[in-house]
Amino acid sequence: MATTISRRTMTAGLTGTVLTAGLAGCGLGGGAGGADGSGSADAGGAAPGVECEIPDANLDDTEIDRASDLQGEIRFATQNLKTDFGEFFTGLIESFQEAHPGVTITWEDTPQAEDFDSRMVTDAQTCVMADVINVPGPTIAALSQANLLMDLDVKAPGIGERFIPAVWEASVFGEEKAHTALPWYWSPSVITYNRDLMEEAGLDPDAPPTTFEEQYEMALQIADVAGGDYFAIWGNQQWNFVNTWLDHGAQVLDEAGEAFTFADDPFVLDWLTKLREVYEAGGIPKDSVTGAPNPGQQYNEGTLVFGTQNASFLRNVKDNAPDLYPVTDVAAPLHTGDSISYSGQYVAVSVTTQNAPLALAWADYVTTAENQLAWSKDPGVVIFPATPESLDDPFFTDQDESDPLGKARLVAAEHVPMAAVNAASFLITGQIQTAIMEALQLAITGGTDPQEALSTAQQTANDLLEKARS
Amino acid sequence: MSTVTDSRPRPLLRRTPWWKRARGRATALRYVLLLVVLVLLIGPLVVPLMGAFKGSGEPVFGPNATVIPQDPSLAAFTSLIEQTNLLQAVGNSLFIGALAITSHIVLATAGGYILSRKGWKGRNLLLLLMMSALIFPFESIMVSLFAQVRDLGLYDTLLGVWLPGMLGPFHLLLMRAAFLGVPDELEDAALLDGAGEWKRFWTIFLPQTRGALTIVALTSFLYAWEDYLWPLLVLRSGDNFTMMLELARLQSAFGFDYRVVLAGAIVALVPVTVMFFFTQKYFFRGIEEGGLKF
Amino acid sequence: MWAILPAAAVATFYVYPFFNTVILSFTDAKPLGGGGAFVGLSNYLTVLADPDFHRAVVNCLVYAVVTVPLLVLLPLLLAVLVQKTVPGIGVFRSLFYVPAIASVVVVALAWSFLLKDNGSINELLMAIGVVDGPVPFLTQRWWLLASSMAVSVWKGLPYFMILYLSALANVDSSLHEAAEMDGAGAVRRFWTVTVPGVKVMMFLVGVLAAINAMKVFSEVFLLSNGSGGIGGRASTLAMYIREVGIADSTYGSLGQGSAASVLLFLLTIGLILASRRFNSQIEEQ
Repeated sequence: MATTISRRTMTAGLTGTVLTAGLAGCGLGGGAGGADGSGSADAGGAAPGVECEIPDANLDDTEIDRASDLQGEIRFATQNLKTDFGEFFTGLIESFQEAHPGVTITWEDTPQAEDFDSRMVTDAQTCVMADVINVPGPTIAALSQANLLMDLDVKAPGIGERFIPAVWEASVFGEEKAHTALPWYWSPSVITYNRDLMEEAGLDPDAPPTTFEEQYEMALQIADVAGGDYFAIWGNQQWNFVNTWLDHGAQVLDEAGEAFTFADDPFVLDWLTKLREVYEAGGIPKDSVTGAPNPGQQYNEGTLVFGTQNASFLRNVKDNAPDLYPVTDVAAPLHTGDSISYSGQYVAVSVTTQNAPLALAWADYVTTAENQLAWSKDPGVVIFPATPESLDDPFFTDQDESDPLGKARLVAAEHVPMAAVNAASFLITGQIQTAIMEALQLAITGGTDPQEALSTAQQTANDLLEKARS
Repeated sequence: MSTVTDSRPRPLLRRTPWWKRARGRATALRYVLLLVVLVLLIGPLVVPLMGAFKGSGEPVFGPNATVIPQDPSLAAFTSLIEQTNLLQAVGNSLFIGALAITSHIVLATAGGYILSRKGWKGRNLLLLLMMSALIFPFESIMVSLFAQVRDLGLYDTLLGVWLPGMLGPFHLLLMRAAFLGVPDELEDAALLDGAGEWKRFWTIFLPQTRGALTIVALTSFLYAWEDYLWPLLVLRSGDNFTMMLELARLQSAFGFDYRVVLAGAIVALVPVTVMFFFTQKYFFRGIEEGGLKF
Repeated sequence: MWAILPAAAVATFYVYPFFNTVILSFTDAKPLGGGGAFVGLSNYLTVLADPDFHRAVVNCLVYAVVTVPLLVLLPLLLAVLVQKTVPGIGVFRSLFYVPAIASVVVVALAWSFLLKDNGSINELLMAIGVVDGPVPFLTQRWWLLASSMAVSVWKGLPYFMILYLSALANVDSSLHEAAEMDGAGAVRRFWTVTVPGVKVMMFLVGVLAAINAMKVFSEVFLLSNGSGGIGGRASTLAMYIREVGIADSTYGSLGQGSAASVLLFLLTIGLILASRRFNSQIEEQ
């Protein structure tokens, strides 16, 4: 008896749900129509493809008044800042809320950046994007391409005047090449190295390399002397390759910004061939080619000469390998050109925000010269504001040179004025980055011929670029 | 019905096999095997985790590092408590875990029982459906799931984390297998006694599947405790963070101390190990009583 | 009545979302919105023509073929080992379970520590002279897959052991004694009494292990720092789905990722049905 009842109810319940599923199923990810029926897709920017309710004022061609009477609540999403800067941001939020009674800023910090894309995609698809978001350049580019960020040229004209001009002018995104994000914090990559190992390899620890060519010569000598006891360069180039290419004057992207040209660039080929040589000679730990992007762990073991290029990671050495910290030294970023790549973080306002005045005001406040400077002074990190005015502060010159973190601030600060943004760095992400990384791995480890590997990766990258544009 | 297991007389005059003659040797062999397996199973974890107890003056990894801390210290645990909102996160995780245990047990028992009953059509189809549900890769369904949770107003709530995982299709299959394992004679006897379906379920089937229920409880808690990606999508405010999210926060973009991360890993292991220690007693008691019980 | 709840839960939180995935697989939907027009089978054709997809399928099939038999048999042996109560067994049982409860991130951290070029295992192998240079456990395609399989088996052992223990509880111990009286040795009793007694569970474990193998992600991803080994050659289907779909907000395609998910689904179902047929054929003989 019971069994017959179960059968019927079970099937009924099931078909019911499946039917609803079928009807509702079309909503997701679709929307060829989207929100673009609002007829406002002119100067303010095109409407995004997601089906969200977007206030007309976010898309039309009028400026948004962010100075007067602010109220309500917004969400502010950052990437992995809470552990180190919890107090700073809580203080910043409090001071803003005090200045504007009745407003609430809810801070949401994503732990670790790895799964951030998944979170962002989910948010965008389901219309729960935070009002103000902090993301790196490539993500800004992706969001802008999808018309998900507010066009600041229209909505907040003049807001860019405070930033390093070279950075601001080149930080344009999307089809319309509009300013959709405010430059925030960054750090020039530097050379960090183990003085003891340099000496052991017969090199002068006071004469660190200044170009990749020099580093290559040194790496060969290190490989020769070390005989596998220690190594010169870390194999995973994920965090460095774009900057290294650009800072040595390589032509990564064509003039129009529509196709990659790195495979035809002599420096890139030379760089890859030399890395392959260093690997062959034993100057690169074999498993590091697919190792963690950061060489920290191996460096902390005392078996790697050239450590992290992210100066903030020196704190890692201090914490995990206290005996190596005193023999760690810092030198200028490797470069032959006259610019240093800005691969910094940005702050942007979501076009789906229901409280544009407050969102804009907050984004504005977070990136003022004063607030950028206050944050840069945090003792645990080496970051620089994107506002030249704050760079005049004595903090950046008044540093203890005998302390690696202090020296890193000094060395990096000298190169901050050389900051330049190259559109190529916005495009190298996701599958394009993977394609290039795989080519590098195959070529460095001696498998594929360097030129062939680069050409294949370039072909894949250009196909993806074209697909993304269509 | 009586227990048949223990009343059977032992054969006296049979040739005793060698392993019986050497009972001491067999026991020793058993312990050797147990120890070997123990080393294989926990050795790989213990060695790196020792790093959590290292003092701030010694290297965590590398040729100069030793397995046993030279300068033992609990400093990493202190920083762990300072850097994270540990109590709140553990509380949140326990809450989701408790919900998961409850819903998994109720739903898996109900579903498993019905699926184990014979004589109605569509059973195989439903079985296949359950199996299919296991196969869907999470990343292909997560956007839809998220939209559902948002529509229910459960965005950034602990309930929203629990809801989509309220039922484990595997647990349903497991309970079905457990119910199928209950000998037919037991049910036949009860039918003769005139016990209704409900009574048969409570007095025969449920007690017989205690072992499987313990597994359901244990693994549903485990999944809830360990899950990372889904809570990451749903939860936004720090006050709602689960243990795993809170621990992930330790690996800051600006460099981190391995000792603290390892300390976090140890803290994450403890509650589940304790829980297992207690449930395994209950679980194995069921096994030791073993055989047919009626 | 009791059937409604579980059925509704599965339908709502599994079937319906997957239904959406199937729909998406026929569109050109993009991760950050836009697209969504019907494009027929083009996503499937793209995926099926992609050499990365072919490699991922091969990797997962190899993963299944190696890990499924190991995970069906080894945990059963382990269960038999710990089933008997001897003094101190509770401690062993509890500690044996630790691999199953350690989070994958910790597990990956621990195993890469052991398996890297200058990790304990390579140092040991070189010290006893088995190999001259380090074995590329974490970089070369097949070695990386083998390492990942080892981790999967290691982590699965205690979990499946527990499943088997619950099944062993239902094996009538009088059968064992009867067999023993007939002079059957431990090995023969294992095959003639224990194995038939836990057959249902063996099939269940086999299915679960196969599904896990086809969906394997964390082991390979974390041991290779997300790279899938040199040139991404050891990437699995789940890694492929993530890479071409949701994890790439710029160049990803929800359609393509969904199509790959549907293919993974069909492949796994096929594998299970095939093994079921294989199973029943063996039984008939």
